[in-house]
Amino acid sequence: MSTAFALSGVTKRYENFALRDIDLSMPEGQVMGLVGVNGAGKTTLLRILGGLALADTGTVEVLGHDMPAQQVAAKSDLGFATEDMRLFKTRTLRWHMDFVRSIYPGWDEVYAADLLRRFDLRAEQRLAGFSHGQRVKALLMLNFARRPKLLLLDEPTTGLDPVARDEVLEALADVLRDEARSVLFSSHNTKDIEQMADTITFVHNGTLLASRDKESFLDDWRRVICHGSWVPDKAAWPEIAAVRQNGSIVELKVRQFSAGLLERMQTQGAEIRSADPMNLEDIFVTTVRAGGAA
Amino acid sequence: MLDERSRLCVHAVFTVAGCGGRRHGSCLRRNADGCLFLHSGRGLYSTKGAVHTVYMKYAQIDPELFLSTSDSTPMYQQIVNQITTKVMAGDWPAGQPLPSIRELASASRVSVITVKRAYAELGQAGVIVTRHGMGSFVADSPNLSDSLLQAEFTQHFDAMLACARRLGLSVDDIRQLLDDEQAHGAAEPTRGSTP
Repeated sequence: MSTAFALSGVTKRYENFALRDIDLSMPEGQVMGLVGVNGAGKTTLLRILGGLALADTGTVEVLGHDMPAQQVAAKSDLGFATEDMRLFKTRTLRWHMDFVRSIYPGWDEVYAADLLRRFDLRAEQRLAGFSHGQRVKALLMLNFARRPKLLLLDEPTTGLDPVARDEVLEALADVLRDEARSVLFSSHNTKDIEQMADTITFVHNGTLLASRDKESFLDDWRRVICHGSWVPDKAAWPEIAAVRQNGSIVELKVRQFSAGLLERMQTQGAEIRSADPMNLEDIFVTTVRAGGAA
Repeated sequence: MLDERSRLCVHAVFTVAGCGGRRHGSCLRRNADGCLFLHSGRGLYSTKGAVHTVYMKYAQIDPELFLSTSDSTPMYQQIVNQITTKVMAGDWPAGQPLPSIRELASASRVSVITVKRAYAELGQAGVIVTRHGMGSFVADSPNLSDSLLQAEFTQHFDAMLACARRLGLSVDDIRQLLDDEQAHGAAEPTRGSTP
């Protein structure tokens, strides 16, 4: 199976921030979600893959092309959308569409028209009159209509109203239909990632905390409520990431759940009342607070 | 040719023009020569350029499931539950081809890996069968809905016993409740709520 991208030993230093020793790859046809707090390094990672920033060390391969040596070939099949990209205020959206079409032969005018309708955008309107949400949707439309093999989307749903967010997720779901197309997207909204991603990658302080397939990742975590006076010592129970106690109620966030673990807890006198799956947001916050591996 | 086909229960007739524009229809594919192919549970039919109508035994099913991100049930479990419900209700008959994993993921807006997992669980439960290179189909078991109901009953029964233990009810207490239930018949519903 070919890879959409592969990073090996990638480091990038800025004055106040460094992305360190990143080893990460994604098979073709997958959707990967990047989760991290502001300043974690998500955008730097996306910029390196998009050929907009140069790694200090390590190797970067995008769609089988070495970056930056073969970046022209890579970029022809690459879509990159970030809020930082300025569109020309005095020009219409139609002008932008024609501009992108003149550069990329893969531009699909029928799909573009479909996206315009679904995103509720007017091609003849000048960008100066666009709202924030409309600008974001316009930028996504300009990328989607090229049908690039790899889409790099930096916070594609941030700042969108619920209806616009839904439209964007629907367009993203269209991409899933084609097994040769891949998406890497970052989001503060972990719900979007939980819904759409095959693989989840946690980025924190410039390093990767975890990168795993979503189903087994979600499956490993549980929030366990037990009654009794037993409170685990976290050093002796590496499976447990967080413990809170209030009277006879103890809440545990477990990072490596198994039936055997519950049995061992019961032999310590814990009365298990529930063991429920956790959502991605809860898992992420617990991981960051626990200050370690997920 | 048509005689043989007419024995089949024809649910759907696709025209080439009509199908190409379907949003959820990946049923038709065009090969390098421009021939159109139809994927169905019984293999590939070619239109060979001239024939513009294709018959299918099974209805083309809508691959969109109604999934909720605010439901605490995990997404893969929601898919398992909904497909099981469709099979039990007879919406999807035995032998019915299921949507491809990508098709269902795209239409229901969930990740491919989640649908993969749901299909794997449905396969293990015997609700669907997956044939390599052909896709997945509703299992051909004559008693499928019975066995699913049986599984559901067992689950509720075990939960009831667990609950009774916590309440300290003896087997005789439970037996008494069952006798009372029978004596009152359907005329008077029992106390408590039913889901």
